[in-house]
Amino acid sequence: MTMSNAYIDDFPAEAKLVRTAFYSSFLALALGGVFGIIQTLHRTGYYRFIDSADYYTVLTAHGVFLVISFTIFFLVGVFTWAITTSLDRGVEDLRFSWGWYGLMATGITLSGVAILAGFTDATDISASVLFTFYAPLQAHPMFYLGLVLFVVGTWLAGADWFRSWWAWKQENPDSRIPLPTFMVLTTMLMWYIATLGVAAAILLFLLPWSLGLVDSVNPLLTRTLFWFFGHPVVYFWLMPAYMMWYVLLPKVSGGKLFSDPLARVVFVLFLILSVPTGIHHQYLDPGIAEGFKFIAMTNTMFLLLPSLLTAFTVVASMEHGARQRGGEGYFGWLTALPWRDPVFTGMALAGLMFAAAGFSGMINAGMNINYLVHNTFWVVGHFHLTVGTAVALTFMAVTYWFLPQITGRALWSRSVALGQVVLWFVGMTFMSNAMHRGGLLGVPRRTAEPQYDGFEFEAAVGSMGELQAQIALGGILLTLSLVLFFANVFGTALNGRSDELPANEYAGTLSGPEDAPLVLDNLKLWTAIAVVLVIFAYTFPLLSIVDRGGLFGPDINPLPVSLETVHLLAFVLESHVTGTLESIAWLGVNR
Amino acid sequence: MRIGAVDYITASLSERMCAMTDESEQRREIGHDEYDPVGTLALITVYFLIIALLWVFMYFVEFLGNEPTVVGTFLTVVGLA
Repeated sequence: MTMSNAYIDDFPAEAKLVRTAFYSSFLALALGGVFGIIQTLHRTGYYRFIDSADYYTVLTAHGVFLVISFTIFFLVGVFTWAITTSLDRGVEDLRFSWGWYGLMATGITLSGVAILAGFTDATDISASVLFTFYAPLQAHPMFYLGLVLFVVGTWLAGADWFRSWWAWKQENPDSRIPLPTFMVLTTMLMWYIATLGVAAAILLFLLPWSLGLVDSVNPLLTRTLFWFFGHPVVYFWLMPAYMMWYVLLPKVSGGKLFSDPLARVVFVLFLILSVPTGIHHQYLDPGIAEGFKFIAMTNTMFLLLPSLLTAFTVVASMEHGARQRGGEGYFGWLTALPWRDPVFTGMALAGLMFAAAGFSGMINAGMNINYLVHNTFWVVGHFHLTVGTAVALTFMAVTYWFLPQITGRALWSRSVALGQVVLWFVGMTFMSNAMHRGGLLGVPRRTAEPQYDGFEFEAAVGSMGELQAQIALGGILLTLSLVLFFANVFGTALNGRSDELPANEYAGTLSGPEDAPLVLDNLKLWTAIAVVLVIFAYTFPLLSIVDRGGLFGPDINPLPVSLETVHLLAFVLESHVTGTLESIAWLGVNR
Repeated sequence: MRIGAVDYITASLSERMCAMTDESEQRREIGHDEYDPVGTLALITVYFLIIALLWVFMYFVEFLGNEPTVVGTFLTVVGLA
């Protein structure tokens, strides 16, 4: 019998499931990281060993592996831990739980193989459609089918967690929903609503189109359905990180969560407001009226509220820990925080980056300012602060807490872990800052070779060369950071079983659930409000898009990305642009 | 369960264990009613100041730094000035 009270001691079977989900997530992180450094060096021109046409396959792999498999596999691990720990009960049926994991793994493998097959001419399978898979870019059916299986897997995972909660409620009819469980349930309700968009886009349009069952699609309709899912998915990445900030960070800071009721309000607001905002990704899409975009912008600005509430609650919880550790003064308490603990430092730095991301996000969200940064490198800088740091760095930091809990082995090296999280922060500071500045100069995103003959981007401060150097340097530091991370994951797995592990506990609260109004736990009410807001925000835009372009669109040509089509497209574009320039010059001469 | 500084001394062992968070580093117990997060107020104020200044700075970077991008009498005049 072991001495410790770690998660693996209480829930050995669930620990195995969480461990498997985490390892799947880390495999995706490793692959995504490799493609990340390849494209960083390619784009900045420092080292190009792939063909520029393959850049888009690399970009697709980087995006899909990181923002679909890395984040969501980690999420299902964290959520399974949260449900079992906070309800203090194992999963209801282990075979069902392994079933949803298997479905997710099968799905992402199919999609991943379809993407990677784009590197070889041995098959005609490819899916170089980027994470956003806009029509007319067309992927092999295997890509879409894999995504469907993956998403259905997450739906079943959600059903599993709801089932645990229902079973728990039978035995505890008068208890409040424990906070971690509340966070899981509200996040999953948001996810069910959000994924209806991508399910419709794939099952009704893109998959039949890719299979040749329908001739064409309405690109604006599928784009809009994508963003119906594409914005809330960012909160799906973020909510497990938020959960860690609320339930783990106060504890590792040495304090308690400032307010359980505020945490519940934040998750309710995300459930209500995440979905009816997707059109803010389409401010530049013709075919959607300005008024609808304005509604999306208003909803988006309201979404700042839960993030600012989080900033307050999380910082106040950290401060509580610092003061209990002897911290004093207005700013002096910051020095009393446990900066040598990689779990704490990683999460705190992730939160700091998220504060910076808040600003670039406000720029993106403003309709007129968005016009100036839309489709530029600025946007890439923004999401490397949000999902690339606030989420990814939090996940890596809490991994150092979770690994002992789910493997029963002591962490291989706390010092390496501390170096890793700091290196990530430094690397991302270089890379993301330079990306933002590049975007202000008009440097485009999603471009293999952002250089043009006879045209120079002019920087008011610094130079393009300096920005490229910062991006490449940042990318290299991030890659080194990943190497250190995996060294720790492997080193820990190779350690012997330890019986002196910390107990599986999360933060207590200063103001507990007894202070939260009962209505906050009324999940039906919040879901109903969320659905009504979605109907308000999307009915008229969707009707008008279908009315104008038809359900299956005007006749468009699918674009399987092969070298021939790229050359053809380049030729068509070139002659078109030359023609336009000539006519402009002609107008200028004749004015 | 809330435990204030005075209550803490008289609290039972199990209540104390529950209130403790990070036993090794903790020097004192601060309960709900004694805690005043002035440091948070200070940090958030600094953040708001930074954001407000950046917002003003944005006008210079995005609008005055570029050619006029929105066609309209007022903006054209500003852009040409």
